[in-house]
Amino acid sequence: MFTTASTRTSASTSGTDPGTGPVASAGPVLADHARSAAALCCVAGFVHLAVAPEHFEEWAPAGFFFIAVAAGQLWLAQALWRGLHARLVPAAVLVTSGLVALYVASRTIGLPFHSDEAVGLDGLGGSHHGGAQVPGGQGNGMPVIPGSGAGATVERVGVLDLVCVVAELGALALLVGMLPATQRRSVGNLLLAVGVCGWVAWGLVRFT
Amino acid sequence: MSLSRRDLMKLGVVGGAALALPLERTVSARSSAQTRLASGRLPRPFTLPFRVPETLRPYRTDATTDFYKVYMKPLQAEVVPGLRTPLWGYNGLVPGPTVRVSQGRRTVMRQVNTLPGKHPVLNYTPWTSVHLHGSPSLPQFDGYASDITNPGQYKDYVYPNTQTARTLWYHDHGLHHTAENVLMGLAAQYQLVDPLERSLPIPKGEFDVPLLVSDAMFASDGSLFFDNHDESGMYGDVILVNGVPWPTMKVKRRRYRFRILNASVSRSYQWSLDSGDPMTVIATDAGLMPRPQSVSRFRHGAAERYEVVIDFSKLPVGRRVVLRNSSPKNNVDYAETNKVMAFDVVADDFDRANNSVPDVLNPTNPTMLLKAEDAVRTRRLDLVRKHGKWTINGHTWDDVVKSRFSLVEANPREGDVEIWEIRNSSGGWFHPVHIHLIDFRILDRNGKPPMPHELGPKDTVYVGENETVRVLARFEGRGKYMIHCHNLVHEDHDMMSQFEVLADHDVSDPLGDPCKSLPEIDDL
Repeated sequence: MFTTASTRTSASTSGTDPGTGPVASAGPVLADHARSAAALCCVAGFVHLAVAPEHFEEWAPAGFFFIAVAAGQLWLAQALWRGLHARLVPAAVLVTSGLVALYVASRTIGLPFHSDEAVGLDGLGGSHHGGAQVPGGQGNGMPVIPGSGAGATVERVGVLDLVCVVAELGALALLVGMLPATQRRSVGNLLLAVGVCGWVAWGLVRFT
Repeated sequence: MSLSRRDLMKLGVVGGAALALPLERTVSARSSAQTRLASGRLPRPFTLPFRVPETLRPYRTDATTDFYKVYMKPLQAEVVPGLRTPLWGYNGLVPGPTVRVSQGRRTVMRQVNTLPGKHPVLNYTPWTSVHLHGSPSLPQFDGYASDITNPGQYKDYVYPNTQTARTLWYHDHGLHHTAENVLMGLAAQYQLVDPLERSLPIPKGEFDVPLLVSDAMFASDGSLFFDNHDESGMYGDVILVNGVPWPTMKVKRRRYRFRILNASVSRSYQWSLDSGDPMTVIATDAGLMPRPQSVSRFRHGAAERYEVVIDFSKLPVGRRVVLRNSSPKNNVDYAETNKVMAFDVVADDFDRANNSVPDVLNPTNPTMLLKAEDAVRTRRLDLVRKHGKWTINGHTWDDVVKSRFSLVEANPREGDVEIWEIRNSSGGWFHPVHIHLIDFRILDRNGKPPMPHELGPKDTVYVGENETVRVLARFEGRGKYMIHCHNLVHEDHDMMSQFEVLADHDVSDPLGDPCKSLPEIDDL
């Protein structure tokens, strides 16, 4: 799937500058990568589409978010398949990285916004999920059963989560590979820094 | 444009973090669960003595009213010998103290929440709302789930005690954590007596025995073990009677009246005696039946009350009789949950008065005299699990809250007689449905007559798997009252809605008498 440094040299010398024009026209290897990325974005998009109704049920803005993400990924999939303009690749990398980061945050530290907080804002009360706000209530009335994750703002990892994030990580790698060499190095270093920070934060929490 | 090994390593670091950190968080959350107490450390059935809950004395009385003060507070109890279990009790007792009142005398009960700010294991703030189950209390005194009393606050509840003699119970009904509060111990009997009941020669005094049956599971440190089975129910491996695991009661060779309250969070029971002897059911939730019913076994859902008379007179001294539970389906059973308690027959002398069951008990109970033809309309309640939530007609209490408490499933006018058809179309679970305010009688179940033990006035009905139950009631009272499943996990998640009895004037708001903050500035 990925080339070594030697083949990279030949590929980079034989292809056109990926910074201009559709990536699919930059050479057969790049076209294969684009199509693979398209397939992975398609998988991620359909997973987001499949889980949108349950998020909609829980909190309408979350449902809209999932539909928007699914639409964006499916659009990206078809664009990659047909030949995404190279200038859009950095944006695709950025958005895909952001989605992965959001996923990691929601499964490790929890997200700062949640349905119950939103419901509580109008003073009406809370849903049965998460930290319930109740008129006249002091504190959080929602029991958190140990090991169940119920009532917690940190979600559990499920099978669909894994399918989706693996697809996104694969697509991200392929998209990074479509970047020009200088951008690729910078983006790679940035992602490395983010990854190292994640591991360090985990280590601090786990062992201190 | 491809990736070098160096690029791959960089992406591997971030990809590994993105995959591994969430998984590690999920796994560590699971492993932080409590450790269940090994079954070998539980007491063996019938090794602990039976006890009767204390009786609550009035704080003061006047010509018309008895005043009580109850403090909800934490305690440490030795439920499992050798272990201390943190519990919460009314006046620090589990079960709470029994209240005994006479028909026609009003009760004012001050409920003071002195519970800690957070549950020791589950981390929620234990606000409360006390419901007197079986009482036509005004809406603001009915334990409306959203009418909450936080720790450090108190509320005075007023109970009319105008209804017929019956076994009621007071228990917590606080929004979102009723199951946990009740499991922690916030439940007790409340017995209402009237002249008719006093005049009957049925067992009384020491032979009139409350049985609060519940179930619990314990963690290795002695604390309660919490598992709601993905919000489907809490089922313990220990059966408690009046807070004692599988107790043994010494009984004299005569009849006893047992007021059995299923105070379990979720579990239903099917009672029988290992002697094969029948039990005589004399009363249901809302009081004496028209006629006693002799049964060899009967089904008993959460919150239902059945009063049974068991005759030990024919048994030899030394004989042990075991009250057994052949569990109805869709409970979670354990090795010893088929046993409840034992009765050991002793030779002691006894009072021979009030030692019979007449053929007629209360033939004129107005609820039992209602006829289907009296109904002005029929309504349907569908009990459905929808998108992972328990609902009534597709509604949850969250929907009621979001509607600013205007959403209702029914709005009968005061005095109307109605048939409510309650339908559980699932084969995977059962629902004991409680309709607040009213007494009703069961017309039929799946078109067939109610079971013999159900032939009395009720306020909670067992709606089993794939069952449709029709109940008939007159709606006396005014205002908004809750309807909910009394599997308290279902209730909390969120199978609860409400109805409103319409009247032209003087309708009370269930949120119209809020609690006050401590200290108690006004005396009772």
